[in-house]
Amino acid sequence: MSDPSSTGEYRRLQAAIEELLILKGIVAREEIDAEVAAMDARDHTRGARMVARAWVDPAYKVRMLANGRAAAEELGIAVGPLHLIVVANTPDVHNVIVCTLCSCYPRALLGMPPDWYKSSAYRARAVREPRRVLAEFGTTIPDGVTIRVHDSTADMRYMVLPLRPAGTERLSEVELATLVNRDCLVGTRLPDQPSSSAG
Amino acid sequence: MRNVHDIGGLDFGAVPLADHEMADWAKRCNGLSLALRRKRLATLDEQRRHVESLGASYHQHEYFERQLLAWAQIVIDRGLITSAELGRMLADPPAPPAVPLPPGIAVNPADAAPDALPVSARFKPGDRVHVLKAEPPGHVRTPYYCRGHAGVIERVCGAFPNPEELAYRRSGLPATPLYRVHFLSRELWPGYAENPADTLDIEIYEHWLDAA
Repeated sequence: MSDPSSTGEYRRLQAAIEELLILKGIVAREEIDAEVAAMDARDHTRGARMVARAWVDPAYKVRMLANGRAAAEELGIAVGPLHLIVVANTPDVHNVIVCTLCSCYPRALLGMPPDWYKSSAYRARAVREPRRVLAEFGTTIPDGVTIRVHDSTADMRYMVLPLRPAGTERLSEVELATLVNRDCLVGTRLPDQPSSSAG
Repeated sequence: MRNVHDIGGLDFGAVPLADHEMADWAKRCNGLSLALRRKRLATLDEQRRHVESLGASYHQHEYFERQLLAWAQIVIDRGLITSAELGRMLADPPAPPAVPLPPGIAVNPADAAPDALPVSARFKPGDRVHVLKAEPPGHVRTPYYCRGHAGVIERVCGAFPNPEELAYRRSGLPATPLYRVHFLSRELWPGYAENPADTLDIEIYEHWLDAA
């Protein structure tokens, strides 16, 4: 088989494999549909709910750092057999997640990773020059802060618990969750700042 | 030898920040992968092995292009469909295949079980360890850049089927202890230019570790 050289060829190859497996009764189209729908339904807002809860409930934060999956399930977020390690930022430590070998990501919680997470540039450089990589995201980590990089290449998956932004003391848990963007759960950005009216 | 996918520490220029919606075929490829793995008809490590076998063309393909090419190999390797059937379907998409599925498809354990298996671990948190400096062929999950370096056990993650065996359709049992090993970045990277206290944590299977 020759390499597909255009998107149309990839589409045809995918369709041919799917059709053959369905015709042979190996898999049902509905099973594939269900996996696609389930993945489409996952996004970073599920992680954002966990973060916001941890910001307002110190006991939940302790449980989340001890067992990420149980903490997700406690909020009614189904994550299947995910082995989730949550790593907490502090004023002295900033965490960054990468997978240098492929693109391991907590998909069962957050859905599919962004394109940059799968890029060769991010995978190759985040382990060796994290501050320079984060600067490309517009994120500046002070020199005095320790960066802890986590190369996610085996059976665990990782999410960052970012620091709660200053000036959010009066926000509700639901309002706090809206500040938690996708990239801050990987460590390449910080949470959004509250708008002046909300703070 | 360092394989084409094992790129930690290399230079690939600026990170491309633009994000794109996944193509429908990529979503369905991913859904098919999940469905087949859920049925224990293939493992994630087989997918990885085939992706890593793309050779020089690896970097010419995007992530889901590599994944699709891997699954085309897996379904043939597993005997789920034949190359001839796939060729005919591609040449003439409406034609149904004449050959029924042979009985007794091989069933192997799939990806990591819901809970880590009981572990009898050689190392404990705080132990200093060396990562084996070896370059075996085949599918391994120990990145090149940490081989030969010394670190400290951060935690015992549990015991998991060995991915180096899962990738070749074997059970990977008995499960092997998996650790998180904690390194100083400046000890991993010559000339590390950022904070000397920066660290890197990575999961390493026990057979890659020796006491330091």
